[in-house]
Amino acid sequence: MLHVVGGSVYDPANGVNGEVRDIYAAGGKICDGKRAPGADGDGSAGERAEVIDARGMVVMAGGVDLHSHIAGPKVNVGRTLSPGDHRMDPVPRFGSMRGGVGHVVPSTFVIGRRYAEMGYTTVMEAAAPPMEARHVHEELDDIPMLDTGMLLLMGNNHFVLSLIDEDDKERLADYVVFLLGSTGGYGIKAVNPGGGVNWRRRGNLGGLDDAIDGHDITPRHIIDALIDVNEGLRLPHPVHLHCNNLGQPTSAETTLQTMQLADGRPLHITHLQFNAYGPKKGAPFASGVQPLADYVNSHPNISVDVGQVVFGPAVTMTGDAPFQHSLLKLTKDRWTNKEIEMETQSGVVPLAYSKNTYVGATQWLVGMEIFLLTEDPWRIYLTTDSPNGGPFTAYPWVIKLLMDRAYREEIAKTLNKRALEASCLLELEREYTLEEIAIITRAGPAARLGLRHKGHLGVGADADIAVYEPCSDYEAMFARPRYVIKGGRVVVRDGRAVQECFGRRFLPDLPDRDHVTCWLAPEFARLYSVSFSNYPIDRERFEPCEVVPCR
Amino acid sequence: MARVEAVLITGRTVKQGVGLAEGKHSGLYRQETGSVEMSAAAMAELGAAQGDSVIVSTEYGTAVFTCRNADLPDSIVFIPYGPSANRLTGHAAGRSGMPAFKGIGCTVRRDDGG
Amino acid sequence: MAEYEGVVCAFCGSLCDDITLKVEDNAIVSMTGGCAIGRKRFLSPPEANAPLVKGRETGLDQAIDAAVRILSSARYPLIYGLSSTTAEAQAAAVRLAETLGATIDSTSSVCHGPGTIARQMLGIPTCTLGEVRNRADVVLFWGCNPVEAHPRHFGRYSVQARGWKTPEGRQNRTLIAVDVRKTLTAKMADVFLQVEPNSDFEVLTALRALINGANLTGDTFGGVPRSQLEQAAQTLLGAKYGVILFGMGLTMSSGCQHNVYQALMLARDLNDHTAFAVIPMRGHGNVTGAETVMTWLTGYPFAVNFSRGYPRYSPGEFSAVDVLVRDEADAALVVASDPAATFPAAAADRFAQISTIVIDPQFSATAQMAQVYIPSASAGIAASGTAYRMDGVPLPLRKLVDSEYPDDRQILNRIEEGVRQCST
Repeated sequence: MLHVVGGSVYDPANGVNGEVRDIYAAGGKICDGKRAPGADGDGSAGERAEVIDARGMVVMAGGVDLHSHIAGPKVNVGRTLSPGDHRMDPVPRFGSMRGGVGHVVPSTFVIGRRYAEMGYTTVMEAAAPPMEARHVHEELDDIPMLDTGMLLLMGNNHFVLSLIDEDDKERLADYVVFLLGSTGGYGIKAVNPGGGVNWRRRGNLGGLDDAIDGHDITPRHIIDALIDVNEGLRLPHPVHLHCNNLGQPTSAETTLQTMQLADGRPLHITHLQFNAYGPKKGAPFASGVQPLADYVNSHPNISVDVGQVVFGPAVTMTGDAPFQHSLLKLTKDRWTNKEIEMETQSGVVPLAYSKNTYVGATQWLVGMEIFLLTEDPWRIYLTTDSPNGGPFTAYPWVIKLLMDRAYREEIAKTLNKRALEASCLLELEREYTLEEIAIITRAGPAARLGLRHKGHLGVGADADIAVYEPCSDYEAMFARPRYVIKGGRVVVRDGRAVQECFGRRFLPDLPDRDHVTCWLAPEFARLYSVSFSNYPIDRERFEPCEVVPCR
Repeated sequence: MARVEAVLITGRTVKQGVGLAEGKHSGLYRQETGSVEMSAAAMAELGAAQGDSVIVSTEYGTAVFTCRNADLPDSIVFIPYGPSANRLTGHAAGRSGMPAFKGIGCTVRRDDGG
Repeated sequence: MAEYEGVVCAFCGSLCDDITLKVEDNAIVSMTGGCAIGRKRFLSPPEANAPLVKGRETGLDQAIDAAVRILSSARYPLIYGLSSTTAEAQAAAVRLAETLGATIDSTSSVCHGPGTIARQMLGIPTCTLGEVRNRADVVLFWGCNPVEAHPRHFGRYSVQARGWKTPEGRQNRTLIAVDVRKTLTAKMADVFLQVEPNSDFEVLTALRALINGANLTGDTFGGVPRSQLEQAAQTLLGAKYGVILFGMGLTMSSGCQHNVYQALMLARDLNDHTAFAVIPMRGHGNVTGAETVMTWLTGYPFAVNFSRGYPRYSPGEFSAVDVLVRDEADAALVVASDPAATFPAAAADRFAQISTIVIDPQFSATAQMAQVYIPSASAGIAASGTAYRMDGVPLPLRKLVDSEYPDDRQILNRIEEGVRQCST
């Protein structure tokens, strides 16, 4: 039983924009104040309500991050590559909170702790390989404080591509349901679709209509078919896509064509920043944001998350193995590449973003342009593609850049001059309001993920609440919430996690149509190195879970 | 008395693995881990026949083994992982925690009981 | 009578999962598939062990209490082993280490640890074993002997195995073996490069020089004639998909992690010309799990210390052999491993001199030296959980029979709870 009293509530999903209101929670859910047990000060069954004095404070729902690399084999590779960095950020145990290490790729207990200490309560793992999904779940189980899910990599999957070759829509839908159900995945993720297949011979592809080794189809067909399957199944979240051609000066063009390909159907483009470059004479690339922003602004079926770059160390980790190899060529440092039979590939390369280099500065500027030129905050979400663009702990800094124009310009003026001159950033006067921040960090991502009980404070929502003390320094404000409540219990006080708790796994409510055994089992025996019977994960391993209804 | 200077390699064998699964008091395990493999020429130099008892010494220690013939360079002897091999391997500094298990200089002589 | 298919054998890092078992009256009565070692593991009747404290039989509760007392009062406890138990038990051991402020290390430190150190410095181009089976046309075994240490590896994954682009199995592959002696593996190879002991670093750098077109002078390198190395280089460059599998020959010989570093760089260099991957031939069934779990929980793969309340990593400082030989540990908890049978004697002997607790389904050599012995349910036979294959693929170990004893995870959790209660 909890009352959060007198705070200025920002609950955009329910049209509340700074009104002073009380929030009541019971049984882990937001409840109606008038009917709440103990509303009069005495609790039911002897339980006294905990009262949080939020007068003068900002109250929002717990943060929702729809794209972050927090768990699984790639993330663990990132940790393995960083022992010297971990050493600089040891995290001692604190009360019931277990310790670990921080820095760019923290250990699991620290990931949960640090997200909660910013007021976040829900995070979606961005890219899970089906064959190693068990590993992803085991790491998610060891991340406290958060409700989680995983997006499942499918864009270079042999069976997916073969079924699209054959234009067998029914079997493809069966197989997608089988994949999600047997691995506990939440939604369809595709990364450089088709490019990973070509990576087998250390090749790649450059656009939607390029050839894919051993298949008749192109990336265009893959994306189109996956969108159709997704819409046919009405999965809670749209296809979540890391576009082809990432990082190239032609990336914005490919991204625009990809958005056009969606043709009115829902599509989410992830870490748009890395795919928003245009060509520029005498430079590696420049911003290609304007046409993309224009398209997003006029096409409500498209959503994006930014993938903002943050200066300092980062660890890139994606399923875009050829792109990751190209980063090795730039950094000449550490590189892990992994090819997972029949399914997917990944690459991990630590690096650092510098404001002094043209490229680093341009990437930062491109991200900022995307935030400021996209008009509908409901379709743009705050991410750093953590830890690719920088660690999630930088979100409060990004919020400050969006809300405080003077600060943003102060930072911009320290950037590489050529990059700044090429950018329109200094002309962009927009400052995000608290309401808009609440949308891009909570309400929007929750809605886009189809999580009806997250990202808002209406009756029936999960009682995940963040209380911030207003401050002219927005970074300080969002970096140190006064209180964070998870499922109705206070878990963070004064920016410090004080109560360890564990969340649940989100699973989509799948239709009964995963009857793939008759055709998949013999293929499995032929092509995989594990037994078909060992591929699906026992359902009980996903508990506690929440099954999310389809649209 | 004849001695052979060689390089000692310790390692896995199937029999050692089967013996492990059986339990370390198994006859198979003890026999296998109590053996040293040497080339025919090395054994001849020692004056040792198949199945004879030999003493192997390294800077870390000494142990007794039953010798048997194997296709090895004359300068290499091989002993399966086990308690007897452990008397010959040692903690070595400057190896980030990895003890000396392979490539250790050793001396082999016949065990004449004296 | 129950029949189980797709059973995972957790003895070695191959984690074969195609075994069929029949269970009757709580005993495994027959087995199809598996190798000689696996058959021994599944079909040997389980030992009838009782918990022991100071050599006297006692109840499980008493043995756990004795363990709690030892560990709570220890100044510098060492937790070691873990490579033959489940990921869940490994996580419980890390939790206990944190509660105790202990040092925790796995068999990695005396096995593939140097490879992990090299990986930390460089990263690794790698793949799952199915990629080897499906695509590899050049397979290079360096310093390992799978015929003896991973008996079904050739047949399931790397040599005779038939896969998608390798329908003729052995005929589709060129096998290269590099070793100091002509092992059974080397005997099966198309090409055998015999290197002098402790010279792998030299041979690898020479090979890299040839791959990279550097100006290399000399006629032999580590005992290998230049012409053989040049031919090997050509074979590697001509691969469509090459895989290097390495073992103790690199990690244990002089150079240790520097040897593996060169092997990883060799693969990286080859990736400029064609496609190459590297897989470490992990020995124990779930040593990969021990590293994987420790890395996600602490940030570090092995040789971790919690004395300051947060994890610190230092192979050579916190690795078990060092901690023992330097006389730092005054108590040891050995789980699912038998260091008395593998450690150099100077370290192994310490287990008898300090207060040692062993948790193991078998009454191991270390258990014989221990003050407290706690039998546990054997992972993958009487206890379920996850194991990680040498290529990182997680597989489910199943519980096929009941044991009268709890599994490692449960015992470790009980000890941890006891220790916490002691300190309040």
